[in-house]
Amino acid sequence: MEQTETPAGDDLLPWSDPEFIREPWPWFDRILRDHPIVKLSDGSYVISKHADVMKYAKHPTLVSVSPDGIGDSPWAANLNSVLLTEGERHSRILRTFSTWLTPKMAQKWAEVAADSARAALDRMGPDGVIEAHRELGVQPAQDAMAHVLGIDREDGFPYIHATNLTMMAMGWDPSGEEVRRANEGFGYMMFQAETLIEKKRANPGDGQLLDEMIKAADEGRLTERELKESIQILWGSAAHNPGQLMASALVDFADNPDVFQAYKHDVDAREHILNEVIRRSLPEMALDRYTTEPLQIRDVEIPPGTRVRFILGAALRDPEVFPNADEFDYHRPKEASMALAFGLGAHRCVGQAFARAVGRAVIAVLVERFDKVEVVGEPVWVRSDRHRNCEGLTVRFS
Amino acid sequence: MDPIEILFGTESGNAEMVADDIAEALGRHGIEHEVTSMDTYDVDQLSTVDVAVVITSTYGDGELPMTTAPFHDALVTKRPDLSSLRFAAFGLGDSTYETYGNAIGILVKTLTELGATQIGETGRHDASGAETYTETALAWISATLESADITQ
Repeated sequence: MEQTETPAGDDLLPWSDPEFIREPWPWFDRILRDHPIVKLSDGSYVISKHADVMKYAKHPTLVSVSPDGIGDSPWAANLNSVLLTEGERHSRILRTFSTWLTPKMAQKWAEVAADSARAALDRMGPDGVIEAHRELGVQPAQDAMAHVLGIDREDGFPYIHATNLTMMAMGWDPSGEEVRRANEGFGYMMFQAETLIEKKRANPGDGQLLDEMIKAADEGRLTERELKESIQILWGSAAHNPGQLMASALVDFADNPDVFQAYKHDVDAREHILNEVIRRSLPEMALDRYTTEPLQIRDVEIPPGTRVRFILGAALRDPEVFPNADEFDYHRPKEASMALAFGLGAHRCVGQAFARAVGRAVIAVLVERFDKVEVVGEPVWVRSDRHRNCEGLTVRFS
Repeated sequence: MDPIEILFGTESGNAEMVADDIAEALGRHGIEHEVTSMDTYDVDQLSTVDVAVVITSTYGDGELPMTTAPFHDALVTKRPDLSSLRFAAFGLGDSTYETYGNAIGILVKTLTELGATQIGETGRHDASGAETYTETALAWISATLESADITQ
């Protein structure tokens, strides 16, 4: 019998194939089943199994920036931020704002988000139709962050669009056009951050986070560049993934009306439902890391200076952990591993508690008022091989 | 008995939530208590405390998080006499790290060296496990109160 050839790694993961970008699941299922370690023709490796991602993605010898340098990637704009620094520098920058994003603090901020959602629903017409991504996903999170920072509220949507542009440059092989637009996105958000900082310096003393971080910079605990990049991220992407989370939740509720009812009537089910929404929402499909020392994963020794992509989107549908992965099933065993969607290790999402609290608070407002949600028209999804986000979702509540 | 002193050291706020859960549990048993962040607590006071609950997460590669570190440093430099202190210990960690739950181990060792007596077993929450912080903490405090002679 003829033996089929082992497919080349590059064939297993067609990063630029529009169908792959739209719905990568069949490709992920295949590598989960048959190719837990994929080696690509450029020498990179791809890891997909849940157990391997959990164990290795946070390996202390992995870094976020290639040891050869970031080159001319637009993401050089964040080299002085928690995203791309390591070790003590990373801790120092992180600690200037992390205490404002603890679970306890997040509960306070979520109240602002809930009020914002309520106001949006009050403005809704009798037909129950609303641009939910913006009004219930983006704006509540943006308003909550405005409160945290101590700044005026603003329309969050331009920041979503700008962040989506920057995310395109995190894809496996961004085009020249995508790189140009990513630089535009960063330019916009950095300009906004600099303006906010200047304004707050002219009116200091409110003791909120921006004021405190400016103080940290003035006292030498943050460089000016670190301050600007931190504010660019905190303000610029405050609502990006919360918006995706809410859009994904609403689509899940529309497709599974019994789940909306369960959230409404069964308070004990809520956290489980939210975790399942998170498992499926996948704003960040993968983490790219670089080895600095040889790293042994299964029977492969990965040499130093190698890119390794850990696909969270695959790990979160590993049949060994999440059987029937395509189903919305909130009775899955409560695994902290669902937090995998927020990353892991030093660079895990610092906004996790914030995102969860805002999501919880807004969904609670929705189930208080309504019994059902339906999607109206076609959602506008913005996707790459690396991220999944939204720029439009209209729904009808009843 | 004096109020039980609940001291927590945290990096991302999870140990604080555990401290609150434990405080609530003690409250339900009618036990007076106080919750304090380790970085604001004067270690000299510890020599006058009957019973304390210490809670810390582990940061990075087995290190002490930002509010535990100064507390531990103060213990090591001031060396208060803790021979009349009894303490229970709960650690937050992640078993996929080799240094799983290292920070609570460091604290327990130092407190014991200064003369304090540990009550019950060290509680551990595993971030890679299936239980929530609350589930693990409540089960642990329940077992610890049962095994210890803590009067109401």
